[in-house]
Amino acid sequence: MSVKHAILALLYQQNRHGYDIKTQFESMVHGQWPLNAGQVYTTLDRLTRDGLVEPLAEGDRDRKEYRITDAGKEALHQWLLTPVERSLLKDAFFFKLLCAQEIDFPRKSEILNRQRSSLIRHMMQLRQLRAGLDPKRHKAMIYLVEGGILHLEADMKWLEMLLEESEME
Amino acid sequence: MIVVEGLRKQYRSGEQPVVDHVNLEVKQGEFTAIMGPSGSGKSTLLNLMGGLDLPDQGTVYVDGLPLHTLSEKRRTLMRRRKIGYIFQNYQLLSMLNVRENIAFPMSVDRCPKEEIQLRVQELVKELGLKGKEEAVPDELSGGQQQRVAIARALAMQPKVILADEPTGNLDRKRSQEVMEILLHLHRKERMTIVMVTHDLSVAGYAERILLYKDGRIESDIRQKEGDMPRVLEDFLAQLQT
Repeated sequence: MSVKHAILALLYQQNRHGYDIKTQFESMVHGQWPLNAGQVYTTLDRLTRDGLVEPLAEGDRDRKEYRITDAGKEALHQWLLTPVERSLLKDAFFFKLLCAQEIDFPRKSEILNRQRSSLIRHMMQLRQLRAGLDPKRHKAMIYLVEGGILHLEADMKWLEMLLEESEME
Repeated sequence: MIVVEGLRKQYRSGEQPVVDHVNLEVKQGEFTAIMGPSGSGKSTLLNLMGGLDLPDQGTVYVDGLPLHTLSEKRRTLMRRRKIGYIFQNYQLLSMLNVRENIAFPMSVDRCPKEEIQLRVQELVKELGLKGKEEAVPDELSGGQQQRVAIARALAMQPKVILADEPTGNLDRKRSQEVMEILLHLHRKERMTIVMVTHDLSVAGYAERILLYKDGRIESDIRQKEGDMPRVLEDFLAQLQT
């Protein structure tokens, strides 16, 4: 996932200038990540170089608008249809556990307990965030948060299993 | 609002107590979840907090009154007037309709008829039960039955709601509806709620979670303000790559 594809998606809907892309992007991620204007223009330059977007003549107040090209549409379609790989080894907590195992760390159950508390706090935060979302206006964000809740539930079950096993050791 | 001091309960001698010298304070307006595996004793703790069961040792104070040293009559009155109970299996009276079930605690308390009528009307509206007033529990879905049970728990305008696995028999969508009602009661009316659950996603609605295991509180976790949930951090971090 990248800013590149987010910009292609925003231009897919309509032609936009840089500042419009920035504000629409921030609205798309529910204001959780303010996008640097510089990053927008650098990415637009790169997309133009690769033939995925093209600049239009300068419009009102000298703002340059951009349009997605057919190649850009195709690149966006391909990206949307490509499944996302998952790797457990890239999970930071799992990697920590592997290292603890490797050095036979004596406080392994403390690692698990601390992780559990952190996970529970995250669940409370997600629930709080979810409660503030309007089903009509924030549909995509609700999907994201619900997905996060389900992931946390699975993480919790996994942690409980590890805790049970560490208690039996 | 609720203070638990040195509470102990053991069902059989020689066995591990299901509540083992538990101390706890729940403040007015707090939404607390007690989370633990089945058989950990969390329901027994809740029953002791609500005066539905008697401890071997220790005391529970509700609104400053020592619940277990009151006479049976005063304890019953206090339970009826200050505490609302919600159970996993709803515990509605099958021969009474929705209106009568909601009115039940007020009728037992001999409240004036007009007052009962008004309160029931209010609760029917609040809990989205309009049009179902004459239905008996068997004619309702699980989610609707639990909403009737919540309305009944609220009938006497209690200070505390004690909920034992309130979503235990419901699917994900109905669970969410029931939990949103409890969250609304907590946020808008500053209702003190203590809820027992084994389910993290349900416990997550609370602002404080007590992890309960083998008769003891293992951890007391409170919500920290202002942190961005990890799922969003992950999402945004990926976006930047």
